[in-house]
Amino acid sequence: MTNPFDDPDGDFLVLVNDEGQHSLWPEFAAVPAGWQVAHSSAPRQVALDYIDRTWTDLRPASLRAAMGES
Amino acid sequence: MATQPALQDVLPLTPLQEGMLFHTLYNEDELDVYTVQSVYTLTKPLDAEALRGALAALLRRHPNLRAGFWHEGVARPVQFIPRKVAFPWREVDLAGLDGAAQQAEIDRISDTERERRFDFTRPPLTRAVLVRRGPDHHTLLVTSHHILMDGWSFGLFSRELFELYRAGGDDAALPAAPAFRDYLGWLAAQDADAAKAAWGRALSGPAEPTLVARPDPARATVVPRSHAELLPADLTAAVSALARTLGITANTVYYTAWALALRGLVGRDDIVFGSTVSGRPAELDGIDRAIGLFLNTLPVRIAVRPGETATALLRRVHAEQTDLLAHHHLGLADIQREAGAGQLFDSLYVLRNTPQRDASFDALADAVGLSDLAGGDFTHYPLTFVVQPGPRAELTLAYRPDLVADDTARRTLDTVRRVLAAVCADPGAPVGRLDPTGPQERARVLTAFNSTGRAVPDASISRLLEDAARTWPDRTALVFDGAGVGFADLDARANRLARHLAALGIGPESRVALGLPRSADLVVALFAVLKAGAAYVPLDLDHPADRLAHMLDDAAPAAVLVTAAAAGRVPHTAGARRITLDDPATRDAVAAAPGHPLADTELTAPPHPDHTAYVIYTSGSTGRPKGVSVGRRGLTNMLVNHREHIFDPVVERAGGRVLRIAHTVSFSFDMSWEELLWLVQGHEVHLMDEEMRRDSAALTGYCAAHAIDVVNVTPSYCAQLIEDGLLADPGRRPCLVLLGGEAVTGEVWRALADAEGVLGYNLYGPTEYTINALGGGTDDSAVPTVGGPIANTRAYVLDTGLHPVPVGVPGELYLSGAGTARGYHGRPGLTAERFVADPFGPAGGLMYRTGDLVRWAPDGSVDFLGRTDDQVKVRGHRIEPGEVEAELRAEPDVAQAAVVVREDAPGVRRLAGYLVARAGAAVDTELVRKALRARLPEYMVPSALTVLDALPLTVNGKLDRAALPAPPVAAGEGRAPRGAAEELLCGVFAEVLGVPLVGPDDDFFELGGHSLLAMRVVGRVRKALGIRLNVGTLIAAPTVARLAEHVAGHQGGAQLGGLLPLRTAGRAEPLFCVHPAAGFAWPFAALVPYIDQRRPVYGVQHPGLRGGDPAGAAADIEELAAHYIEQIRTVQPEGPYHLLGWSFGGQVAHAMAVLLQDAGEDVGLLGMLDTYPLEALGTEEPSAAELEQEALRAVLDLARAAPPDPAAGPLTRDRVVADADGGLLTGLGPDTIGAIADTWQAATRLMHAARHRRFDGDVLFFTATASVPAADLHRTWEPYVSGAVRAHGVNCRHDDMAAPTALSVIGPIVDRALRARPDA
Repeated sequence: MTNPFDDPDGDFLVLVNDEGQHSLWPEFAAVPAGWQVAHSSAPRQVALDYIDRTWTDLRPASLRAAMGES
Repeated sequence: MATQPALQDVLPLTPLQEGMLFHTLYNEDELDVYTVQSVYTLTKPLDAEALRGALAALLRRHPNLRAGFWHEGVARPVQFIPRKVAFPWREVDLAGLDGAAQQAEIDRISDTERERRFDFTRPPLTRAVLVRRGPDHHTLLVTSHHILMDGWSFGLFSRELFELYRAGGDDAALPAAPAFRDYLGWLAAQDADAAKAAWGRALSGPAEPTLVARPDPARATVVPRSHAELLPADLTAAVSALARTLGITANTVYYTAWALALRGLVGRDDIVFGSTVSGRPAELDGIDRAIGLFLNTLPVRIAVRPGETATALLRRVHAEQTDLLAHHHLGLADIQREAGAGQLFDSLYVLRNTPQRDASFDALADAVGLSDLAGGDFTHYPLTFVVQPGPRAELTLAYRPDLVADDTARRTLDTVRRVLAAVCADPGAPVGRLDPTGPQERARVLTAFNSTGRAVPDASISRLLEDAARTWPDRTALVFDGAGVGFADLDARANRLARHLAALGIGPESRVALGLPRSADLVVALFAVLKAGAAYVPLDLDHPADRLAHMLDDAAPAAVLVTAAAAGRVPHTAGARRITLDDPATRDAVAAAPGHPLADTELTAPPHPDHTAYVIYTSGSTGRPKGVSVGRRGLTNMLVNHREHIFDPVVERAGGRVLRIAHTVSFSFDMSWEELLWLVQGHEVHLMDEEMRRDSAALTGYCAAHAIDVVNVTPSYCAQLIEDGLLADPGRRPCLVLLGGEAVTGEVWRALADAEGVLGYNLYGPTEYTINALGGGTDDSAVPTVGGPIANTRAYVLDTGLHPVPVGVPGELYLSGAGTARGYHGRPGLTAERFVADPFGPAGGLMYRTGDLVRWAPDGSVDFLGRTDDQVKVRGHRIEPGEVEAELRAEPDVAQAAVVVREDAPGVRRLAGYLVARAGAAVDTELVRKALRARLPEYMVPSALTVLDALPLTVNGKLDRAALPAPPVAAGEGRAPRGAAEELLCGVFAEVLGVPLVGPDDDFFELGGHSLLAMRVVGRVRKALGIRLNVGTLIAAPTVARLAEHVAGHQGGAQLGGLLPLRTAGRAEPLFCVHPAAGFAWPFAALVPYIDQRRPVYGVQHPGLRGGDPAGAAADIEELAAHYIEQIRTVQPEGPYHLLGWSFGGQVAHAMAVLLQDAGEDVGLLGMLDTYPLEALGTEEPSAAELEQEALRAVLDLARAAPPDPAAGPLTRDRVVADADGGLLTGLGPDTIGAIADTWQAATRLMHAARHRRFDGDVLFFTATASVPAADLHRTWEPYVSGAVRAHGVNCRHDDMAAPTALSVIGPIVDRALRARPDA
């Protein structure tokens, strides 16, 4: 069984939630509540490259805020 | 002889006939589900004789309805057609009974008829009972074997029966029937190779079996149950419309929907099921009017891709199936062999497409008074899905109630309907969006199983330690190396160090590496880091410096804590302050800091439950370890969970006292928190030092001596501790054994469950989910379990479309809740692909996908089934083979590498590496291993490194892990056959499978055996051993060793004395192999695989083995030879004869050859295995006493017993007979062994007295070069041979000339010599 997140030939979205956390997401599946599409359908590596480029601080947004950063 | 042969024809079987024959022969004592029955109710005045005549006419019209079947002693089963058989007919008069009694009696007759098995060798396989119920009321029961007729044919049968009846049984009433024989001719003319290739392609990839039920050959047959429903007319029409739009058949839509429903049932995307096809080739005239079994069952493979739209899937399936149309004639056994995966499916799809009961049939029925026609046929499959087309398609799901639960069957049928509706409603939607689970089941697995909400205090785990110190300041918290540390002291020391760290600017979101040996100071440092708000990074000091350096680079800690002694093992890293705790200056500075708890304001930033508590490194598949960043929230949550589920119950059972916990786990594992949570709860933790924790005997001793209550270990280590006596003393055993890190074996679970006063508790959780996600104890389950989700944790078991799957269906485990880790340190991409959006929890939440393949048990616990990726566990260590492979490839001489876990010996899991050298380079595995040890922890270094020419690849070009060879095993593991039965069976297996050698422990089916070959084995074993096996026995005991055990339980054993049929099939002149002095010929079984398939092989054995006096059997060698000639003439009345003899047998063969030539017969081959005319050598006959000693030594040698000690004096018969139960003589018993010793002596006397005459021809000679001193000794035969003695050397001892290895040299030469004969 190939996990849909591991499918090398699949198309993927990049989702982001209010905490700024990113999630790879198979294009065929419905986008869960509380998540927005940050990067539209793309090959897996493209989506991952986007995440590596964009998501530079892995701390949740609420934690950053609590630590006095924005 | 009758003037007219009784047999009209002998014909091959169709593929499905072979399958049915196999299935029916499989267990000859069971209900035969292929016995089918038609029940006709006739309500007009009946002419019984005319009806009987009509049945007889049917048999005359259709020769194949007269067929009997034969499978023994033939290469492939055949059907034989007798010229004439009567239709078995019985009349029963029930007119005297009332209606209800009549019906009951008819039911009873019907059952009896259905249960009474047909004898395949005694045609016809059909019979009728006519029940008279009244003057104008009859019931006709026709019971037949399905092997004669398919469903379509049953319709034709009924129609012809009543047309013939109407015509008074006159054959001329009907046009001539199309001949089944023509169809068999057509079948034989098809291109089997092209079909095999097409099926091989269709099932490549490879197709893995789709099995609804566990395969179990011993399973009894049961009558299936079924659920049926009519599709709404509009949905039926929508299916047809969709099919039309796509240019495909509605059938394609139905079976694709079936595939999607099966996907939801078995939890796999690559689906295979069986499908029946009519098998009636359109190019044969009138084929649709032929009665016979044309039907074939073929695999349909549908690989579902969740991202594909239904439209695209249907088009693809249609195209794939169209490509196979021309190859529908190939039998399932052949197809499964091409696929190489054994049984591919156990469910069946049937499009019911029988002749409709049209108006003409109704008119016929009316004319003859046929008012009702009922009949049923079953299949042996656990699930059969039947679609009957119509204005409202009828869907029927038949299921074996013993294998498929009623509600599962109902749900599966529901799923088919839901899938059809969804696909018709939106064919453009991805199939991954189809929900395999109904709303009720969905609520159960998502909500009911995950109702784990609990209130969790805001306090961090380090604050909770402060609470404990306040509550029990003087209680012992920690014992290390015999010294105790009180709670107040422990907490104060941690507070001082925390202040020291904070003063250095270390706080929340900074990391501190712990390069410390196991000691109280390590625990102090760990809590100090947490108290400062920072995260600790444990360093395992046993790991290679390279690996530690990488971890430090990756973690970029603000500080590294070391001791002076350990400092040398911790690499320096840029940017990190190195703090040596036992350095006097540091010690003074720390001691100067106040010991009370730190206020939040003393930290560099206010504390937050999402702050990282620790970063723990695990194996990374891409070649470098990854750091899992874990927040604090989960630690407190874990304490809440453990209080409720573990601490409170266990402490209560112990009488409410403080418990003593042994801390044995490396701090590099998050599992090390189990003991620390007990500590925070106020219990006494004994920290084992590095040496003690790894020494199971010392650890067990410590536990007993210090009355340890709680032990926390991996299951494999637990097994060792149990062996060392952990549970031995009821007064001194722990009351709780915590397990984690890998799957628990049944033995360990049982041992814990059975130990009075001990609770075993298994905890599961990847590092990515704080410490644990699931937990369960021996009081919850009799078999190993990881239980259900812990507090504030949701477990999801999802399919590849990310839908929850029903209970019992495999899926991947996802975890969500308070324990979800923050992610992988500094790896956003990797984090985003493993910690993904959670569609089922609070909006915007994350779930971690574990890669574990699991299923829900009905009680809400989780069963583990394996991994969806390559990750492996060895002794509790999580290993990504990819990381080890990357390290192997980093070696300069290595081009390619593969790493797998193997379990070649039961229970022994080990990492095996495979290497391919760079072109022109040679790999020294020892050097590679050494290099690996410098970079990887010990448990990641493969225990075996094997160099291959190339890595085996699947047809898709991926590594074929299953094809990697077992690393070479120590000599002696692949044992030689023991005993006559094993020897013979090894030969039979090898011969039937067409492989040179089969060991006693090799599995028949793994070597490529299938049902037809199994029948052949059964036939051969019946002949050679005189034991009636059935195919089921072989399936249940598929190795020679196990089959031999079965054989030993029966009367018989190897056929002793007389002619031993080693292979009876074939038309070429047989090869006769004459026994050595010991009298038996079964070692020649290993010769058979080398001899042309068309040539029978027989062993010639001494009559003395049957009892009686061996010396009395023959006065001289020619008399014995004459006796043997009589025997071989019973199977081959005339020459040319081919003779081969080993040792004494060579001399007998020579004498036989001379006598045969005397009688005017031709001798084609005279072969000798290392035998010499003693008269030419001038050897003297030994005395009786010497002969007895030699015979006894020979017996010991045959038994592979240790050679006798000459100092012990002469051998005695009683001793030898008692010691000789081994080797070729295993299990023969004292009488037979005694007979062998006597035969040996009688034969040896004949050999010494022999006076050889001259044989006219050549001799093919084999010399045992390890025993024979002179290379030309074979020339001693020249005076007794007119032609040449052509010698071949075989490197073995005289006594091993018929061992399998020697015969592997001899066999091909003998075969070549036989083939080279002009008449061959």
